[in-house]
Amino acid sequence: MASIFEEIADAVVKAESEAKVRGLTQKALDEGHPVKKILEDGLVKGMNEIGERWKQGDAFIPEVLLSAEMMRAGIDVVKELIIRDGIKPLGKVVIGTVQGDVHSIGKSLVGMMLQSSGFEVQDLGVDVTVGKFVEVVKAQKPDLLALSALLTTTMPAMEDTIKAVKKEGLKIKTIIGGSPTSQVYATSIGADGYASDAVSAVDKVKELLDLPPEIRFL
Amino acid sequence: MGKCITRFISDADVKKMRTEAINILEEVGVKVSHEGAKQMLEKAGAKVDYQTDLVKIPGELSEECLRRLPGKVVLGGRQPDKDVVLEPGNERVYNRGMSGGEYYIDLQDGKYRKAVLSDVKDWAIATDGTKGIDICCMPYYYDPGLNVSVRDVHGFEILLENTTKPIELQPYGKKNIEYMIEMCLAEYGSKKEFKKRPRFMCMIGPVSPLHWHGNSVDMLLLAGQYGIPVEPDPMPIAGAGGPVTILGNTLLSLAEHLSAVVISELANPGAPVIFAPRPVAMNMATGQVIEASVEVAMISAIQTQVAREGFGWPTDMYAFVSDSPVTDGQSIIDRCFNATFCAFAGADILTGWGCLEASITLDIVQLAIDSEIADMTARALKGVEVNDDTLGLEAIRRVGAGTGNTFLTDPHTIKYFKTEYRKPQILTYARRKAWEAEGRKDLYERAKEKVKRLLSEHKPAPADAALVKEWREITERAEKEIVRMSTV
Ligand code: B12
Repeated sequence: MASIFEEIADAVVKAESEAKVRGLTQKALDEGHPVKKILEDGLVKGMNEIGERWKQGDAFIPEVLLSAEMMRAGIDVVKELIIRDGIKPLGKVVIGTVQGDVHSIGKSLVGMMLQSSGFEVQDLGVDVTVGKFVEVVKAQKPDLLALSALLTTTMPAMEDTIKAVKKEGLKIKTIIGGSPTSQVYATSIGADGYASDAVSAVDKVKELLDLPPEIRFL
Repeated sequence: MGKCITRFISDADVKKMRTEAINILEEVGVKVSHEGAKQMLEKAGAKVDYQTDLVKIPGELSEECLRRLPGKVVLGGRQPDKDVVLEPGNERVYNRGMSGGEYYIDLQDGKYRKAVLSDVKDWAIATDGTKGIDICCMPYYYDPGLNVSVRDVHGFEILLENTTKPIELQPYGKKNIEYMIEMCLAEYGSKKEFKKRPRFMCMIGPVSPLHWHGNSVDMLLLAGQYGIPVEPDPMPIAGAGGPVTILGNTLLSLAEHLSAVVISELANPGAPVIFAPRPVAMNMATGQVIEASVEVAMISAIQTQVAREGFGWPTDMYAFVSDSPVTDGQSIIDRCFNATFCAFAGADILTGWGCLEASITLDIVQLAIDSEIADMTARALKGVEVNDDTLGLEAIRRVGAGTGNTFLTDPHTIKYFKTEYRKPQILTYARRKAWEAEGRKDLYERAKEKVKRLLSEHKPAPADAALVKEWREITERAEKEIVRMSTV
């Protein structure tokens, strides 16, 4: 018979219902298993598996996102214990599409991928002013700020945002993306990183925050 | 005789989609982030939540606004013979390129690079000199020192100067349109004259699902005041910004367009509004958009049918589209499917000449090939007229059965052989020996030669020198006055 961890992982991969994942997670807790193990061998393992399948072309984005929701439902159950045991998300990320730009889909995809990879993500939406970014960064002190722009006309707002954040003297890494941007452009405006798609964005963010590629949760 | 039109869904289905589109605005509503528009909609009977911007539009209000749409949309060329006139029952189909596409395949060395200022001029000249393309569009170029926030205004100036055909663009904001209007007024002399046959139309889109940002509403309202045709471009990416199914995606686009009609007609009764959706699907394996699959072509076709039969809207459809990054077999397959589906569904305008890679890259050689595809499409659309003469009844009788005679010199052949068959521009009907003798040139080579010749030979009729000067001054002023968007 499959272990409770395998059952959890399987429920995350199959993504039949959040209730099922919650139930299994609660069962594992009731059986006295440590939270870290429930995460690593159950919830996160399932997420890794679907991620791997997606990379192989055997799973699709909606399935990956659904599994991420399942994982989150499970994490909800053990949330308090995670805090008690000092288990932390990989880092905190603030993401948004810059001022004047309402393209949201690429940005949301990157946000969701980061979230399902173990980051805590705050998505500020689209058409986010420089002032708003600065305000949130000052208040929330995230580890990384991610900016999206799909219009050539709004790319300069990335530069303005990065400059404004730096001016505040905050210790924060920055990454940019969106189809008209590039590594060259990122470098030219003083962004720490660039990624061309949601998958490489996750790898790049880990690199920028000095995290090993395979890690999920600290 | 009328255009040869194919129907994809039944009368009852068209009716259902019309009803459901109206219901969506009544039940789900549309988010309108624009104070003035919200007040206007509330006054007209819509239910408005000022906190969330959600506006629920009663069916009667939609119907009332639909009745206000003009029966005819005119887009002016520099002279009236270049005008584009859209009205129900149009016998012909119009064609255009697409404003956008920031990357460009260099005509000389074939290399992929960013579009630059000189490409805009080439594009305008090629459009001006190419038969079958009726509306000129603008590549999104880069230029050292360019203030990108006025790129649309500057590009517009170049188009005005280098083409006598009407213009389409995707403006960045209300202020930008104001400068373009100023340029036009310099040419037309008065708002009244301009309104009769406005020189340009604007693509102004909602954000799917069902959201109008303030900037877009500002542009819709301004365009309406001047009678500038607007092209709302609902773009619910199937599976992301909109329902994943062909029909669900079609329906959401219709509802979104209807919301544009309501806003435009309430503010400016009689304002011209063209249905110009841009169906795209999400590639669920990678997250990128797919712009030209056969399913996307089906969405386009059904959208066209419902827009036309259900609502009587003029339609401008993404027809010459491809997901291929280069002009190749796929780029031709993609656009042939999409263009023919749209054309036979009855679209008024077929869009996208020269576009590759989901409209991100432009190839002027592809534009030359599109000229051929469009000509073939137009030929097929003309269809056939059935009568004894076209059936060749007499000729068949004359030549008889197994008599050894042929139709070669029969009067029926002489009468029709020139008009029945279209003459190709760049397709070859040569067999191998002749083709080899002609230099073994493939389609791309032949199209490239054609476009090179066109660019060196075609000189668009020059615009009035005083006007050109005035346009320049207006652009320069725009460059100074419109600051980089981000610093606003
Ligand atoms: C859908 C779409 C829209 C929709 C957006 C709906 C929405 N909710 O997002 C609507 C209709 C609103 C729209 C409007 C406009 N659009 Co538009 N739009 C597109 C389209 C077709 C697809 C974009 C998309 O969602 N792709 C799918 C996502 C998943 O891909 P992506 O955004 O590239 O994101 C990926 C990567 O770039 C990267 N990424 C993205 N963000 C980030 C951030 C970080 C930190 C990182 C690391 C990575 C990253 O990862 C993502 C996932 O892999 C593109 C054309 C195209 N073929 O791409 C044009 C396009 C972007 N639009 C364009 C234009 C011109 C406009 C308008 C000005 C047109 C108009 N006048 O109405 C307006 C501008 C509105 C505004 N102020 O922002 C041009 C841009 C040209 C330019 N560079 O300046 C394009 C290229 C089309 C064209 N050829 O003309 N658009």
